[in-house]
Amino acid sequence: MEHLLDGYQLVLRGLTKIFPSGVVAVDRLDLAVRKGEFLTMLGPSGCGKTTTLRMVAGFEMPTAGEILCDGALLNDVPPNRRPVNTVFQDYALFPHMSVYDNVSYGLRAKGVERQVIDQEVPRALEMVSLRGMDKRFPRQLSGGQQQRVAVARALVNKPSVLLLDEPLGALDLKLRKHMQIVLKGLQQELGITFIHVTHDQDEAMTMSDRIAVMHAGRLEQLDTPETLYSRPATAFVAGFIGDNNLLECRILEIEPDSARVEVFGQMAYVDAANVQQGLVAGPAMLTVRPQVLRVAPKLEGLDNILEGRVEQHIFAGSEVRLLVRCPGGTVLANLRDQHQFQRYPRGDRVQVGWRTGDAMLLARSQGTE
Amino acid sequence: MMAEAATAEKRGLRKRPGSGARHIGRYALLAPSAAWLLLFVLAPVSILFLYSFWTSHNYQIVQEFTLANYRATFTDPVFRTVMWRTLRLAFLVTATSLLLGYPVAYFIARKVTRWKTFFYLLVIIPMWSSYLVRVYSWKSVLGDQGVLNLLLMKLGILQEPSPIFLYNVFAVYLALVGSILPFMILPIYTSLEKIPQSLVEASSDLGAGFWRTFVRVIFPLSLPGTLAGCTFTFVLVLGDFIASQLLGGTSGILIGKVIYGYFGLAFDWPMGSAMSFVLFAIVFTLIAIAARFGALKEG
Amino acid sequence: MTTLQREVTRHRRRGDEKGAARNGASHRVASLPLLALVAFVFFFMYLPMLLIVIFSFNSSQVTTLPLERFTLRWYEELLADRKIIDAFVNTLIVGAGTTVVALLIGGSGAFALNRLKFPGKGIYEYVVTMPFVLPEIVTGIALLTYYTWIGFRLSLTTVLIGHVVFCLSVAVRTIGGRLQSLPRSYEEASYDLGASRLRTFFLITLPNIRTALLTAGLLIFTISFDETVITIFATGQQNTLPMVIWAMMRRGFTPEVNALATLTFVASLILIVMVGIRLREEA
Repeated sequence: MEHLLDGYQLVLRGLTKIFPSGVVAVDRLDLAVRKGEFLTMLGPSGCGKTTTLRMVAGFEMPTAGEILCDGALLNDVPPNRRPVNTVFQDYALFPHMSVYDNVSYGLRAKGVERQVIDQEVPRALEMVSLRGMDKRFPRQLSGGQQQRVAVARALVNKPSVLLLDEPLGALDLKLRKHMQIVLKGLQQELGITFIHVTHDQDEAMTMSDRIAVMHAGRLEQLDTPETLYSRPATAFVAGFIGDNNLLECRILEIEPDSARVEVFGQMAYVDAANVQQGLVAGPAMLTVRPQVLRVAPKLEGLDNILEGRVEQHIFAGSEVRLLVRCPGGTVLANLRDQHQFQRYPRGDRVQVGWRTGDAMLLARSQGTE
Repeated sequence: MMAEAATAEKRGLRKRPGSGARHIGRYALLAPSAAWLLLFVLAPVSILFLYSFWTSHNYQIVQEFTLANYRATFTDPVFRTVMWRTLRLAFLVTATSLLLGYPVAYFIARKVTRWKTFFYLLVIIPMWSSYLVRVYSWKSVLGDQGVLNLLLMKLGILQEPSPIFLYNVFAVYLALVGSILPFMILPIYTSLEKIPQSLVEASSDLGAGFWRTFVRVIFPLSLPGTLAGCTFTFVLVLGDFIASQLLGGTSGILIGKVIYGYFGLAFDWPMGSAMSFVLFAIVFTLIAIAARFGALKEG
Repeated sequence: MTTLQREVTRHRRRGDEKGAARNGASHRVASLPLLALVAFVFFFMYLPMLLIVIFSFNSSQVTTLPLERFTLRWYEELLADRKIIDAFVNTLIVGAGTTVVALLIGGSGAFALNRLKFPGKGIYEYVVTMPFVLPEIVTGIALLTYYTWIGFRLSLTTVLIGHVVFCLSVAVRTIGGRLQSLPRSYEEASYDLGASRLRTFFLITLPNIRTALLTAGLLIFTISFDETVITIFATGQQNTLPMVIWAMMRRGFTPEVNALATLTFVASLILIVMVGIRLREEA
């Protein structure tokens, strides 16, 4: 097993955390992070991503499992001796110290010479565009500036791995989007492995080389953003990443080149390549993205068509969507042309359809209801 | 899954050496205060309890177990009179302090903004002067040539100075109210301060006038602090002997002064200990009851 | 409109008028009766102190009206009185000692409560608070019988111990309260950056609880300075100021005491104001 993990900087093996209350926060997690990659752990609150991060940092003791960094076992190493640094969610800047003292804190703790510190700190501040702020105090800085000081304070120590615990959560949308670009740029420039935790999937998709989607303490899927979007491995991932319709269906037959299902009272087909492995006849989940759906009073030329009534118009900035109520559930469809919605007033009967190759068939799992 | 998790847990636990040593170091934090409490709080109370069962003879303490002291405390008519007097006074002082102090606390908490710190300090400042001297100076107010007598004579209500104001329960009552008021005002103030203005506004928005808002919203929320203030005041009166000694004369003797007497020339430490312990038990019960209602959270 | 709607509107209209008069307009302004009561209460609380200050400058040997001439005689006699000066020094020693010991022991206790898991936390807190809420006479007597029983000779030390017992809960509560509101992430960040436990405590934790330490310390010193009852039972040969005053009141009262009370009061005022300004600067 060891040789398979060469080239990976951080390896989590069977990592488990069970709290005294009995809650299983992390359940036998296996994760391998490549050197120099930007990996995000993504998932809803309570999925175990923050607990995992804290175990890597050393603030939680694993109940079982191993944490290896560059081949060395970290489990019993106290947090102040691990080659990792953390950017905390509340930044945790020391309020009684200036920016300079904050950033130089880690270097001073290691006994680095004054001359070296005097060079490294300005360099770190320059990296996050905070040149000249070294004499200020945290309470004099804006949220965005505090966040950047926190990043500089961590990076100046040249850690092997940088851990970021929902660092952008407290920022407003515009600043957040700006910082996403800044952080990504920083990571690429420095080549340091970043492990980032967030519940915001847009953020994860924008910044990450790979994303580890987590749910109820387990790893659902570890892949590039594109793969997660186009080929979700589980119904949870399909529903969590991007907009998606998760339609409960019943598999009637699985044939060599396609599967035949019954969904919302209608017949539909799914390409064999898009069917999850191991599925048999019975209950399943049909997923089809709103963007690929066609809407019309009467559709021609599509193999998969559902009948329903328009229930709501939803305006989402650049898109207009229709919420269509069918027997068995609702379907969300994007209208290509913004002005099309006038053609479909509420209450009208419509047909919603898609090409066979655009849908996927996945097993039903918990957390998708 | 459960079985797997259990074995995994065992595996994880065994992987952490030296956690035993860490534990010992951690309890070192608790040691100083725990040792102190044992040595200087729990031990003395136990010894007090022990003494209460002995007797005194010819200025020597006889270490034989007896319940005589407790029997005397509960049956002797003099003691009972004094005990009743003390309890009654405690009630009176508490009630008066509450009626006077609550409005002041309300005033500072909700009726002033810029001067809040000033008034808060104004309440605390008396506590920085000598308690003894403050109590003593009530003699100058209530005595034959004191402020009160002079005022009443000026107003023509009295022809000559009256001795009825000093060396009795009334004098003790006045001095205690004056000295203990800050202890009533501060906890109530703390409680009132915590009530968000939005609650009062919501009440008014829903149509309630001042009194309804006060009775239904403000007062209930200030209950913890009010209870704390009343408890402190009551306990302070129960245990007082300085005001009683200086201003009480013979008719204003409180239980505190009686107990104190046993440690002076009378030299009956066991008797004094027994009465102390009874006082302790009463107060302890009172505080336990008050704590049940959240009084200990304030102050 | 239904009957209910009519009722609600009528009530609301009435409430509006009353509300505007009571809640709206007079919301932050105190009514005259309340102001009068507040003034009376403050007068009542300050009356003794006022008299003390006045009589300290009064030339008469007895503290009665009418007043005689203005004089500084009592202040002069006060500063020349060896006994009082000695007692004052003793009081300072005990006060400083009490503050240091109480902050150390109480501080460690507050940390233990905040950081450790141990059984009986409730009982621990109870025992810590007990001496403060119980009548001082009980605490004083308990300590006296205890000292006698173990043969501990009464001295300034026994007085100091008594004061610490009394004030411990102030330290535990004040420091404990601050520890609770201190973000744990500060210390985690410190470890994360490579600092040892010791370094973290001195560079990060301690500076951030400084205000609590100052507040508790000031309060404890003030309480110890004027502590009378417990001291009466725990005093040996050397006296603190309250003991000297107490003796004077039993034997023969000299107006020096008024001068003393005035001086100590003014001193505490100055101290509080100084600390207050310092705290305001840091905020």
